[in-house]
Amino acid sequence: MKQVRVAATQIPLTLVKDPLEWVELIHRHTAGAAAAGAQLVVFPENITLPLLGLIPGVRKLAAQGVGSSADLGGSSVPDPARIFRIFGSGVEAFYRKTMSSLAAKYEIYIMGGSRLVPDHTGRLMNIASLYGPQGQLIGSQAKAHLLPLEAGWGICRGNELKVFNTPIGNIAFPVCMDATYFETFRILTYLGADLIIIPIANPEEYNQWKALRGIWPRVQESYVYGVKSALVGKKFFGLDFTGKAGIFAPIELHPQDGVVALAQNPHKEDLVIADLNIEKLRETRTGRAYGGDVNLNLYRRYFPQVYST
Amino acid sequence: MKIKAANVVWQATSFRSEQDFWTEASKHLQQLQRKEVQIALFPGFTGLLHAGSFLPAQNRLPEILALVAAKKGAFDKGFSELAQEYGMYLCPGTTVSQRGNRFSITASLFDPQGKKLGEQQQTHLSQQEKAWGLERGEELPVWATGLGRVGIAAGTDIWHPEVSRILALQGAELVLAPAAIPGPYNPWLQVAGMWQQVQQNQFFALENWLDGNIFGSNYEGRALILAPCEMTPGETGYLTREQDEQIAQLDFNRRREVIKGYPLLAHLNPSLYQGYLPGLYERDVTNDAHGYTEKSNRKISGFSYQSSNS
Repeated sequence: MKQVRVAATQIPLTLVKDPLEWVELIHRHTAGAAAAGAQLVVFPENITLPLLGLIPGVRKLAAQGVGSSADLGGSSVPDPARIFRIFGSGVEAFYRKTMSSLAAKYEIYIMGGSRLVPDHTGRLMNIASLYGPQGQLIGSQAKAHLLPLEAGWGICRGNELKVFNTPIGNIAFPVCMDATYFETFRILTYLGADLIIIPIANPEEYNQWKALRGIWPRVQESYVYGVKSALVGKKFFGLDFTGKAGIFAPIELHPQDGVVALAQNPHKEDLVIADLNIEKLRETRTGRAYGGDVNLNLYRRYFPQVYST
Repeated sequence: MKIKAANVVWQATSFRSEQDFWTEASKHLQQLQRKEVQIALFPGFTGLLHAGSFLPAQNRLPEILALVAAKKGAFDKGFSELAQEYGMYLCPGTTVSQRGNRFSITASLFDPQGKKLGEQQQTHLSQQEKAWGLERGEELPVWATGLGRVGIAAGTDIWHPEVSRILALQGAELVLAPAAIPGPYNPWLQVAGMWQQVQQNQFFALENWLDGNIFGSNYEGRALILAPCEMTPGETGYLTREQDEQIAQLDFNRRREVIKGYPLLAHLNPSLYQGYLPGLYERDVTNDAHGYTEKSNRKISGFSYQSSNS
C-alpha cells in the first residue's frame, strides 16, 4: 500500500420526511466517492440528525430553536438526553444497515460519521463507526471530549482511543471536539495511526481562524494525515452548523500550508477528494526539522499529575 | 486587570561594541517605557546579537557556543539593569548557557527591580540543535508576578504541545515565546506553533522570532501578540501583527469571560490520558542519530479488525 485516495463529505443538515431521503443522501456521496476512485469515504458527526424529521411534531420544535439544556428542558419539552436515547436506539439499526450495505455495494471503506446512541451500558454517547469493503463493521469510537452544550445535555464521554489496522493504512476516527486537544492525536499517533478522521458538526458561524483550531494543528504537531467531514445547515433548532470538509497533511509533505483539499463553501454540500501517500508519511515522520523531539524525563515529571492540578 | 505588553522588534544586526548593543537595547526599552509597557520580550538568540558585538562575524555556530555562554553573566547583568532602569518585567530572549560540558538554550525573566525570577531551558530540540549536542531542560516553571502567572516556551518548544499544556495547567496566563528559526519563512509553520498553543490553552502569548543574519545564519520570522480568537479583532487570534510596533493591551478579565463561555481545559479528559501517558511515550521511542530519544518509526503491528459493536 503506497497511495490511498480518500473522500470527505460535506453533508447538508435538513430534516427528512422519508428515511429513504437520508439513504439517498448517503448513497449519492458514497457513489460519487467510489466513482472518483476513492478507497475511503468519510461522513460527519451527528449524521443521523436529519432523521429527527421522522418524529411527529419535531419540525415545529425545530423551528422554535434550542440553545441549551435549559431550553430543551422546559415544561413542554422532554429531557434532550432522553429524546436522543430513544431516537438513537430507534435509528441505530438503520444507520448500520445503510453504511454496511453501501460499503459492500461499492467495495469501499466508509467511516459513517457519528450518532448519539446508548452504549451497551445505556449511557448516551457520541459514537462513530468504520465499515470495510465487505460491509463488515471494523470498529467504533466514542467521542472523548465534549462540547459544554453536550455535557449539559447529559451525554457521556468515551475513555478509550482506538486505531484500526487496515490494508489502506492505520485509521483512527475520534469525534469533533477531540481534535481540539493535542492529547487525542498524540495518543493515536503513538498507537500507530497514519490517518486520523475527524467528523464535525460545529454549531457556530464560520470563521477560518476558529476553524483552524481543530484538525489542522493536530496534523502538524503529530505528523499524520487528517480528513475532516462537516455537517452544515442553517437554523436547525436555532443553530447554524458550518464547516469545510478537508484533507490535511504535515507542512513538510504538502508545502506550504498543509491543506491538500478543502471545500469551497462552509454552508453547502460538497465532496472533496485527495491522494495520500502513507509510505511517505511513515518514512519522513522521523528526522523532521521541528516537532519530532521526545523529552521523556519532562513527561515523567509532569504527566499525568499535571492534569489533576 | 489590563496590562500593556510588547515585543521588542529588533532586526539582527552587527554591533561595533558591547556598548552599542546595550545602547540599542536601551533605546527600544525607552520607547516602550514611554508607552507604559509593563512587560517586554526580546527575540530568540538575543545572546548571539550580544556576542556579535565582541566576536568576529565570520564565526559560526556551534563553534562559538562556549564563547557565547561565557558571556551569559554579563548578558544577564545588563538586562537586569535595564529591567530596573525602565521599571518593567523583561525577558531578554534566549542565549546559551553552559553546565559542565553541555550547552543549552535558555531564557530568563527579570522583574522591575532587576531581580531574576527564574530561567527556562529549552526542553525540546530541533534536528540542528541536536546535531550541536545541546542539552534539554526538564522543568517548566510558572512564575507568579505582579502582572499574573508567566511561563516561557523557549525556541522550538513552541511546536511541542506538551510544553504549553504543562504551563497552562500550572496556571500560566501569559507565555513568552522567544525563537530564532532559520529561513526561509513559512507563515504556516509559525501558525502551527504558538498561535495554536494559545488557542488550545487559552492564555496570552508574546511570540518574538529573530529576523536577520547573524554569524552566517539567516533567521526569518515575525513578532506577534496572541490571544484566544474570541477576544481578538476579526477573531483571528492576533492582538497585533504589526511589525513596526508590537504593543497590545492584555485584558485578563476579558480572558476569564472567554474561558467561562468556552472552558476548554475544564473539558480535558484526565481519566483517558492516565491510561496512556506517559507510558505510551516510553513504549515507542528510539535513539536518533545524535543519541536523543525520538518517536520510533517502526511499523505498528498487533492491531486487527474489530468485529464487536463496542
